[in-house]
Amino acid sequence: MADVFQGEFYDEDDFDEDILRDKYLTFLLGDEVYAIDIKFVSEIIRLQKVIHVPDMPPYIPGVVDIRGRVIPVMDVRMRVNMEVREYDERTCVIVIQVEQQTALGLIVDRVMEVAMIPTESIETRPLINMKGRDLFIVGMGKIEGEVRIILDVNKLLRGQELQSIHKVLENLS
Amino acid sequence: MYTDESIVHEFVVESMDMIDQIEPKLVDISNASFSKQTDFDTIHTVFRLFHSMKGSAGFMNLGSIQKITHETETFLDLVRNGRVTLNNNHISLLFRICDLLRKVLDQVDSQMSDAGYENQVDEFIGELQALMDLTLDQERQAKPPAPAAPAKPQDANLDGLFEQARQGYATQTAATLQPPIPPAATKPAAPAKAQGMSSPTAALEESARAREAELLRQIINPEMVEHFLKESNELMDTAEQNLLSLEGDGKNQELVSSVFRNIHSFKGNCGMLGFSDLEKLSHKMETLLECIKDGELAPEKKNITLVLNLLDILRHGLDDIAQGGKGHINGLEALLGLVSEALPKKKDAQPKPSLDRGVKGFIQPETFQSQTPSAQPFVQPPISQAPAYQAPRPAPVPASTPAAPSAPAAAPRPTKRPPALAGPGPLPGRVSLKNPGLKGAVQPAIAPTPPSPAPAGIPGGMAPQGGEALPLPPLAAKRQSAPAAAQPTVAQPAVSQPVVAQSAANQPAVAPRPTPAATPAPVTPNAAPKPAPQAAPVPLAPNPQTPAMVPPAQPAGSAESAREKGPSLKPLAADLIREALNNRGETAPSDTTGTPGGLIRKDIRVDLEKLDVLIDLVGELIIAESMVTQNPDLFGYEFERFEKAAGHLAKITREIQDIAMSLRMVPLSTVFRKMIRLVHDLSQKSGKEVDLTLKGEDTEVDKTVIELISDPLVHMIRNAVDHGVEPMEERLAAGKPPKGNVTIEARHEGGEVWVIVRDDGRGMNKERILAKGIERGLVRGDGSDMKDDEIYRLVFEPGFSTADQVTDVSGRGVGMDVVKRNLERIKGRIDIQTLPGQGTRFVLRIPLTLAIIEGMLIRVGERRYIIPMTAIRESIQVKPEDITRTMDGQEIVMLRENLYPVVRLHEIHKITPIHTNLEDGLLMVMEHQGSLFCLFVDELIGQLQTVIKGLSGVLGMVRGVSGCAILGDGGVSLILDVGSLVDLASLKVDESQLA
Amino acid sequence: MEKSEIRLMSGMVAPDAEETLREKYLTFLLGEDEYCMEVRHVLEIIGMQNITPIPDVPEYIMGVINLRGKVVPLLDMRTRMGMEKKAFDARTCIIVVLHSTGNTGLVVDRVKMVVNISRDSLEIYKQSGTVLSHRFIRGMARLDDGVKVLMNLDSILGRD
Repeated sequence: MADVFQGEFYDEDDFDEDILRDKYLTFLLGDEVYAIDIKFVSEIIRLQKVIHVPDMPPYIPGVVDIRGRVIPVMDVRMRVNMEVREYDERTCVIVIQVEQQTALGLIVDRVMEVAMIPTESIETRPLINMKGRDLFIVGMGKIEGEVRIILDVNKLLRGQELQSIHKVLENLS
Repeated sequence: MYTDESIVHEFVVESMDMIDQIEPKLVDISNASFSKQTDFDTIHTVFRLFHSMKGSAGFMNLGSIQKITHETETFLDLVRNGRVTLNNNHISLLFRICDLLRKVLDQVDSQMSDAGYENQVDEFIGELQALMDLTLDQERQAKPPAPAAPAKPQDANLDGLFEQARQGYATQTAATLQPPIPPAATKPAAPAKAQGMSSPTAALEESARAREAELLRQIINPEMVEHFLKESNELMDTAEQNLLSLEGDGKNQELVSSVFRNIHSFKGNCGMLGFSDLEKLSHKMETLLECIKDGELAPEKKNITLVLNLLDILRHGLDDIAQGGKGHINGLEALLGLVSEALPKKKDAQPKPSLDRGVKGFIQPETFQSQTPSAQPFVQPPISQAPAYQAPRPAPVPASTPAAPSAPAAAPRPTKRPPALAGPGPLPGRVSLKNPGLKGAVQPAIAPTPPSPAPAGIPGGMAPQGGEALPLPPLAAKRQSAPAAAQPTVAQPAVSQPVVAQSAANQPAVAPRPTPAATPAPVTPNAAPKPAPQAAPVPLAPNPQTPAMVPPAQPAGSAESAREKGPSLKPLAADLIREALNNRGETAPSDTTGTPGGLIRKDIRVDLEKLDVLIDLVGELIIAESMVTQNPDLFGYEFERFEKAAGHLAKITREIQDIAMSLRMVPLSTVFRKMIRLVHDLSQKSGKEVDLTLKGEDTEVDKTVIELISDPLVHMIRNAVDHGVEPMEERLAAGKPPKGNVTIEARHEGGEVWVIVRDDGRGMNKERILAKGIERGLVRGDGSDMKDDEIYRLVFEPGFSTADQVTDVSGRGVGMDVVKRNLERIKGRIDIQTLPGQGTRFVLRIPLTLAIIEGMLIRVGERRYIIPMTAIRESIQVKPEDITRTMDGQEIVMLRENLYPVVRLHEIHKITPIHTNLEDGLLMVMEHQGSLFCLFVDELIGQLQTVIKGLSGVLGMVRGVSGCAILGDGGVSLILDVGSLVDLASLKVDESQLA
Repeated sequence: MEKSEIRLMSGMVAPDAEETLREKYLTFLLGEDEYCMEVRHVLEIIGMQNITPIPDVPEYIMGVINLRGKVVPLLDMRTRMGMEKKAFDARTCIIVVLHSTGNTGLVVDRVKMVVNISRDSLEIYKQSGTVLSHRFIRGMARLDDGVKVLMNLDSILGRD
């Protein structure tokens, strides 16, 4: 998976990449623990005021201002078809950086920790026949008898909507 | 044009069979590097097959087929004689002829005509003739002719060597016989030979005979004989049926011609194989039939009966051959005389010396004398060698001696007939086996010969039961047999023995007396619960030791006609016939103890529809049985005797089921044999040398499986040869033998049949498959987390191919998905094992039967379902912490560090369940195509075996359900189709996400 | 003939008997309307049975029943004819018909009787299926006691 990554923060530093191998940032959505590859994560912030932007898909409620950078945010619950929930004081924004594109904030219920999930404890098999079920899921990571649902960051951003986000953002900046 | 559709169809099927046999032989020939020495047998076999096809085509007026096969035959004859040395071009020409024949046969089957192929046929004939002309030219140039050619040049169609052997056999071995041509030469031979038994020349004769026999054995291989037997028996059957119909409809010319043709082909076959006794007798019969056909003889009862009786003698000769004999007929000469006598005077006087002689010899005492010795030895041995059968026989000696033509009393006068034979009526000895299915065990003496009329001639141990004892259907007999139904063969004697004793007592005068044509022994599905693996296609007589070649052709009717015939038989004729049948006693006992050579493989063709109806009925019987024994009305009661009876019923029912199921079982050899040609063609095309090894061809599978497995095998073998096996240089470089090997093996493994296709090639290239899979979007991500097996399985995806270039053979990616699809249809599975550089192994795992399912009965809400046991791994209960629910509602259960997605049956089938929480219900861990999932159900009711019923056409295809079954309480339960259930589960999510 | 358990083994009758059945029709009720079908198609008439529902099939297919060891699908004629459903009662009957797609049970409100309908009083529609509702109707019989609708079994038993 490493070769997929072309992020500007790390690509010049092989050492960093090694350190990040098999590390995942875990967070809660409802009762289940989800995880994303830490390579993509640039920072975690508390939810700030979301400025609504028109012509966005519903799961992009708007943009936030992080130290002068305007970053669109995605309501992950809404993106993955979970029921929506009021944001609270534990709601966080995970800022990710994918494929040289502008950063994106993922609104999640609560950030948990950074966990080691070795490749060999990630299973994709149970899903191989469940076409469509796992649109956003890379696999299931197993840590000490518990399961972490690993999301595919690229897939979260896939689709035509992404184009419009960029366009809108260009206009904003 | 011949119009009887069923006969045409029969011909097509048979001819296709023959082509199926020819092709492997051709491959053999080409593999054996065309060394003519070793291939004589093979070429001869091919020759003979073409010859038979020609013969049949001739009868059918199928001119094109006849022409092409004739020309091929002529060509092969040259090959056989060593005048042409086969090369690859020849073989490929022969293959193309086979292909053409298949095409033509297909058309014949559908349109009843071979018209339209004349041009193609002519082309091939042109090619063949060009080849032959070439040969002849060469021979002419290179005179004297090559010494390697043993055949006389003018022998266009008869191989010299073969003919010699045959002649030699005729004159030397069959001492009792007088070959019709030339009588002058052989006439002295017979008595000399017979006397020679005790003379000093005996040893010499003996060794000469051994030599001849040896020669003959070399030439005639067992397959040929087997084929001959099968074909002959069919001919006999047809002839017999037609004769019987003729009795009712004497004017029917077509029937006579048909019998004539049958006997004619039989004669031809006998001649080919050197069974001269049979040849002679059938020749004589042919003459007789010709007279009837031409109206010179009336088709009256007397004549028909005679032919029927002679048929039985022919059958008897066939039995002899089946047991390794030479088709010897006792008292042949006298029989020939008998026929001659029946012939109209005009025919009699025809310049057929042998015929004449026969008649004379029969009438004139002095000629008689010379023949006596020849007949005598065959009368005596059975008596002395089989004392066991004598004992109960009322008067063995008187009964059989008059039969000998030597007796002066042999003059055909009823008055001289021994009292034992003069029985007023239809002959006490309408011996019929009470229970054909059990013959083998109960009455070993007759076991080997049931197909022909149960001969009263020999075994005193048999129970002559008057004429009324029609053979019981074996199943019925089995039922009545005893409480210990499991081993009816053991139980039976107890029942039948007293009958024997009694009838013997009641009818002391019952002399063994043949009632030929009496017992077209009905099909004898033997009581043996398991079919012998080598049983032939649709083996109704699974036990090869209880042969039954006579078709179920109206046993009652023929028995009746036999009874009518009885009195009309001239006593002498009866004696003669009995005499001819007599040496049965010699062979009978040895047969039951095991047939050496295993030549006896008797089978019948059965209408598949009937078979399916039978199986359906058996299915209903099973249901009915459980509806009775598990009737809800009985709940709460204890009936001891009822339970016992019910247990008994259940046991018998299961056995009937086993046998019924076995009837659909067909050996895989038919499919396997087709692969020989395929591999041959493929290796030619790809330029790789590949050997094909076949193992376990005898393994039997359901007929449906045979139909569905052929295509998958073709594709897998294509892949193995094209992608698996490396070119020779590459193999040598890798230190492998230069020739590649592909093995197809079938064997039983647990409740399944495994068909294994293995090559010793380079193995599957995981990286390449994966790359292609990613390219085609079949793989999520980079596939680094896929198991090897999953990667290999990608080859079964439609359109998948890793071939860089599409070759003629494979690489278009069509095919392997057929393997998967067809296997799914028969509820089978595929395992792939591959080792880089060492080869690949595909294991097709096929359930033994498709009609019965071993399943688990489960409940969801009010509904009950059956899940095939083969799909179930285990059933578990889970705790809340084992469950993970993804954001889209997919539940995943972690069990022993493994994750399984959960499919809720009640959601898919929209049922109101008892439980909605996973931890309250039950999870069945299921496997489908290598991936595992959990099926959530309310409760498990129990394991059961049940008959699969299809869903009605009105319902169409029901997703997630493969059929249904009727439960013991009369309710209907659906059988889950695990494969489509998974698809359905995925689909539901797709829909919900689209929404 | 009012109620169930009439067994008409018409499928197995001899040709001459077949002839006598030719003009005989079984009439039954769906709601207020009286329908009829040729008796020779009718195998037997039974009362309601235990039905095993089949998933994933059109609504008019009620499921299957076990008819003496044979699995027979049941069609709800009301639903099939586009009428509203009605709870089963004591008069609800299953007419088991012989058809090339397999024996099938048709659930009707009530079986009435077997009547003779001469060819003269029967009007067969030349073009069936022009109007949707006519797809299942082959014609009309005008009798003294009213009009009876002749069903088109082939299209009723065919899939949509």
